[in-house]
Amino acid sequence: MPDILSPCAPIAAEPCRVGALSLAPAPLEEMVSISSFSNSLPALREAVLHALGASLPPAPGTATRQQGLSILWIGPNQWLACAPQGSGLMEKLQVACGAHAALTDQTDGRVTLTLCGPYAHAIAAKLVPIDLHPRCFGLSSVALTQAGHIPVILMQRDRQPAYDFIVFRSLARSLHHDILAAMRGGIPESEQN
Amino acid sequence: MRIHCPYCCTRGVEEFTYRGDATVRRPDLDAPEAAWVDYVYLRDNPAGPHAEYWYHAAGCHSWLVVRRDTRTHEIFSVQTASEVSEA
Amino acid sequence: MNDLSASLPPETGRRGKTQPMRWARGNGIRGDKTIRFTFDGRVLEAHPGDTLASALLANGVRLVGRSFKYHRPRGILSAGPEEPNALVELREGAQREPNSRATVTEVFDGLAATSQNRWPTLKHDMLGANSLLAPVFSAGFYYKTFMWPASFWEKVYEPIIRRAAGLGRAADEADPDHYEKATAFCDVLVVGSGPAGLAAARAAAGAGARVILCEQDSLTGGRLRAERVMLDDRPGWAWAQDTEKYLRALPEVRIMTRTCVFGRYDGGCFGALERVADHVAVPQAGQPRQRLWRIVAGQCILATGGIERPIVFPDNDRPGIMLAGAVRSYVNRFGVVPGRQAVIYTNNDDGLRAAADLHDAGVRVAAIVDSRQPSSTAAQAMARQVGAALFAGGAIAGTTGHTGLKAVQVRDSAGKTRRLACDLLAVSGGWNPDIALATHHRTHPVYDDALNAFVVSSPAPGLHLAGFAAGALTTDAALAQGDALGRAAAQGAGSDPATGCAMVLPRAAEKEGYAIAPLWHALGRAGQAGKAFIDFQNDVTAKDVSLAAREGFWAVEHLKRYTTLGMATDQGKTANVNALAMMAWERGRSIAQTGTTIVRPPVQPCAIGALAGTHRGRHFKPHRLPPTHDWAVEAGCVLTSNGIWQRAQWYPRPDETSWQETVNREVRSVRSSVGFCDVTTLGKIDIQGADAATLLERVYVNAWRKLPVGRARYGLMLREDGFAFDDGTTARLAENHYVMTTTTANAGAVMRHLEFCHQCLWPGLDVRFISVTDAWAQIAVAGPRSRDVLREIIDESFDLSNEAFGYMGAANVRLRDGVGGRLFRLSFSGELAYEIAVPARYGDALARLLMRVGAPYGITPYGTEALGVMRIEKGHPAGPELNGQTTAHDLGMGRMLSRKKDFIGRAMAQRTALCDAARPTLIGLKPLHASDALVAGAHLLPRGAPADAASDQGWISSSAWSPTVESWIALGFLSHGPQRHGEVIAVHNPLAGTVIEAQVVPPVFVDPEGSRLHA
Repeated sequence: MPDILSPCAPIAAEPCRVGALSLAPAPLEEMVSISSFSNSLPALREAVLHALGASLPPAPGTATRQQGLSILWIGPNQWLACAPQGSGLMEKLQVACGAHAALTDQTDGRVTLTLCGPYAHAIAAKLVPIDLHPRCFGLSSVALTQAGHIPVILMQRDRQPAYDFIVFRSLARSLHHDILAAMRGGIPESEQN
Repeated sequence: MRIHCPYCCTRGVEEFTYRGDATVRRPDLDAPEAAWVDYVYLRDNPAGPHAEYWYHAAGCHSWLVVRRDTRTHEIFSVQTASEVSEA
Repeated sequence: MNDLSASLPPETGRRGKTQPMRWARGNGIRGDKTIRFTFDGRVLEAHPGDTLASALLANGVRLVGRSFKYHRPRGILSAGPEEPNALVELREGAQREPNSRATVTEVFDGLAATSQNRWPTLKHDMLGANSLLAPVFSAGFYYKTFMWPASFWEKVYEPIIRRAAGLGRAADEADPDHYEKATAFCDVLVVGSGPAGLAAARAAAGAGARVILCEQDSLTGGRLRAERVMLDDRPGWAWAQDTEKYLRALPEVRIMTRTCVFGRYDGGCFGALERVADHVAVPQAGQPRQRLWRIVAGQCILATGGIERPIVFPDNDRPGIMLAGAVRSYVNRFGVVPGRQAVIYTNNDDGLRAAADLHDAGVRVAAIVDSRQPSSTAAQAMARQVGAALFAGGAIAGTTGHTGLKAVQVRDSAGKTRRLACDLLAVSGGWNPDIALATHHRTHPVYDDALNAFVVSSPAPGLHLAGFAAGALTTDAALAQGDALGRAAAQGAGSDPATGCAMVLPRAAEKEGYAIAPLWHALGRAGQAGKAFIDFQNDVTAKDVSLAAREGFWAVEHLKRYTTLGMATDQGKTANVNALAMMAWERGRSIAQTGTTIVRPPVQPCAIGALAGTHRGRHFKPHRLPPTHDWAVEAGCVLTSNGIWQRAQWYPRPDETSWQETVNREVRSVRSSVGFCDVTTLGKIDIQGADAATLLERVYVNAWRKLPVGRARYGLMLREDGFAFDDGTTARLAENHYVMTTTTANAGAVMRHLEFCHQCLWPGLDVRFISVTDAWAQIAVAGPRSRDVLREIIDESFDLSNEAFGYMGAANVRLRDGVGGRLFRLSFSGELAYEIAVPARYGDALARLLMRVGAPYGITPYGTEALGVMRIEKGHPAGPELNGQTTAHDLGMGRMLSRKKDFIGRAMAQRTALCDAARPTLIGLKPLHASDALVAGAHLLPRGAPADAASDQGWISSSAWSPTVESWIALGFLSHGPQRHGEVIAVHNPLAGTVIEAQVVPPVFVDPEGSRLHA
């Protein structure tokens, strides 16, 4: 009987709550980065649509999301596809577009921390130096930026609002600490006019 | 300073890493040593408009060519380095 | 003496004993609630809305502090952030904060404030004798006195000066409060919420802009709260309150009170400090005391108003001498009269308003001293209205009252002097527009002769000045200007000009007059008798400025440094223009010709803690944790920082008494049996594409095209200048798929370098990179029994034999329980070794599994220290060798440089000097006595040579005690090194002053044939 390796997450699944705000790691998802090879973009778009039933987002700073699947823009000609565990995401993509794009498994490379609750945008504004006004950063908007000193991919998951901070696994605990500190720091009075 | 990344829109300078002069061109291997010394070491230090490489390290990892006034930090244009190299 | 010299009226005790000077409610005070605070231990009462200054005045406290150099008794000069005198210590213990301005400190129940720079008490300050030493404290005293003998400076003079002259005491303990940072964006930032600021915010918002309105005060309204301006038949402050309420209801307007915009930076960025919890006794749990904002604004309107100037005359610093505008502020906003019998001293009509306000508050105004000759009709009317004597063309020639003003000497236009009893002197030398923020970024102010002040005539693009900051003299003008600029700024920030509707502006009941006549040196040289202060905070007098002029320090920047004018917490807000005018007069030039210094951020003091925010202590930088971190901590490891990575340094056992003992054991275990170490921290970059091999060829010095799939190779990268940059192994996983490893330290730099090569140099190459450092838990399993351990873990179907999976092999594998991973046969230790990579989530479990299945072999986890010892034993270069100053030749890798291709650094690496055999080159060193410690950084000299630079032939880069060799060993760089194997040289450690003899040896101390590696 072989030893079974049990997975271990860097952040406990139990959400941390401060008032009505909550911070919790998202369930582990399969993540694959897709980076288009030269002159392959049209074919890649077609192949992804065919394989996943969802399109690559048309513009930088956006994501397409449907039924548990999300595809985030993460750089020029580069995307991050995320799907629930057991979706066989890598296999599907390899078959469909292995010739058109570099595919790299990022399932373990990144951790998603979700911040949600009333005034979550005011807490996020303590971390990321980007404009979170709904006109600039709405539902499914994506930004590659830094939360304090930590590089993150930020996505607005829900209008509630809720934000996904997608962070390198090794930095997840530091980011979790920083977000929690921002939550404990309270909502600035000027947000609550 | 704030730099308008063609992909990520305008971001604070802290997201970028500076490299320097973007007008220099890598010589061929067999170019005379003087050309290489020029490429590797010799830099103008203009007080005024200058083209520089900036790397959007905390963002999309694009190398950019930023034309700015070194005296005022006024930015005239930002292009991706690959677009400039291929031109 | 005439009747005006009658003694002060008796205390009338209008509102009971506790706040005898509180005459009315005040528009900014909640008079229905009483709170208590202490000043120097005395319990006093105040109302919510009070500042410490207004509360002290309400209680009749006039003496608040002692001055910096002369320990002169000082009171409250102003009612705002420009205050130079009333500096106090707030709170106690670790939260003690010195040099806090009483004029901007909000009183709360339980506030403890103490006076500072006095001993033993404020009233009886022994150091007041400093005044007698005035001649040595004159301008430039730092430079002139106490210069000889030099040894006396540190031991005698400086401690005495430090004790005698100074401000408050900083807390001795770490700051226990929280601070945080945040970013906000807007189309239009309005700084200041007086009539101009409120009108601007309202207009900008009405035109569809996102607006942030910042007010450093706790209340909006600015001077509308200090004056009795009526707008449309209602008090001005009521209009401010209504406008604030209206603005707060708009979704795109954000009002930030208690927020000082302290700096203007390029790109439309502003720094602002919000005092979140300074006005409460204890912040809520987790709540920051202050919050540092970065505000990014499309356009900015500065409606920062003005700062009133004092007048320079002898003994102009006594408690009870106050700016006229501040007097009005205390009377109207706080309902406090700062005295019972007042004299007004002004050179303009605005100063006269203090007479009316005081009179209506029941204060007797004994006289108006108007420096203008003839005085204005307004002055004459005012004197009649309040029943005061008017001294047109008069001046104050001196004052009396040791710890508080008792009388002034008034010199009339005929030159006759008389004494007037008073306990309050309201002075106005005119107003300076507050243009500090506009002058950040090297915008030079210009002198406006009509306004008698410096203004900014051409502000930076996107910046607008409104209200008195722009020289608008009346409330109506300020409102109109704010309104027009608010609309213009909204359009400048991209709002549609058609948006919004015009709003009706209120009209002020009267048009304020100013009619200023300059008054810089009323009494000429006579005015310098006694001490006529210009800069109260730094005790700089008119005489000091004259002295600086005589001694040649007349340039404004010299004047500042020579006299210390304009330094410290107030940055000369009330002093600078008076000093410049004095200097201009001394030099016989105009103020415009004399010029002014420009200011830098911050415009108000900003705590260092706020600039640090949450990034302090352990969280100064983020930590990266490898996947086995929790297990390693459980196993009792000692952690070390490797960049921001936290790694296990060694794993002590309870019976071990030193780290050396622990590290020796770890090394011996690996060399004799098996050990493991988390090497996840090495940078891992996934490289794919048809041109992946071409790219590798161009970034590495050696050849890559022929590397077979399933094999790894060591690679060295140079910088373009020919010096070594980084090294690592890269494995080919598939035809067009590689995984590169970098050193831990250079992972980010290598990624940036690859992106540069691809995007800037060779954009045509079809290749893609992405970091996979965090995706894989990579563990080195090293030692002669490592294969046995791996056999227990890797699926049986995978052939681990040396024949099937030899040195530098790379393969996808499956662990016995089905988890997919990668296996590399790489060795940093020189032993038979593997690196096994599994998805990071299994890293923790893999470490535990290795401990379990390796137990029969005595498996030992090892840390970075043992790793370092073993790589030195094998002569593998690492950070200390790849230090940016060494070439491939220096590292003994000269022959790796391919001659068949171009690669980064090739051309420059070929330079003659870089290939000179005399360059220090990698060698090994062994001391003649095994126990002689070799130290990194030591210099290498020929045996017997003097320890000087001329004899210096190299250095030690890395050293360790080798339990394998049972000797100290080292790697280093020595001139002509490879030819000198066997030679005995001297190792000089100048820090310890030691010289050790050591033998030069090849840089491989263990298994030079590599038989262990290939076992």
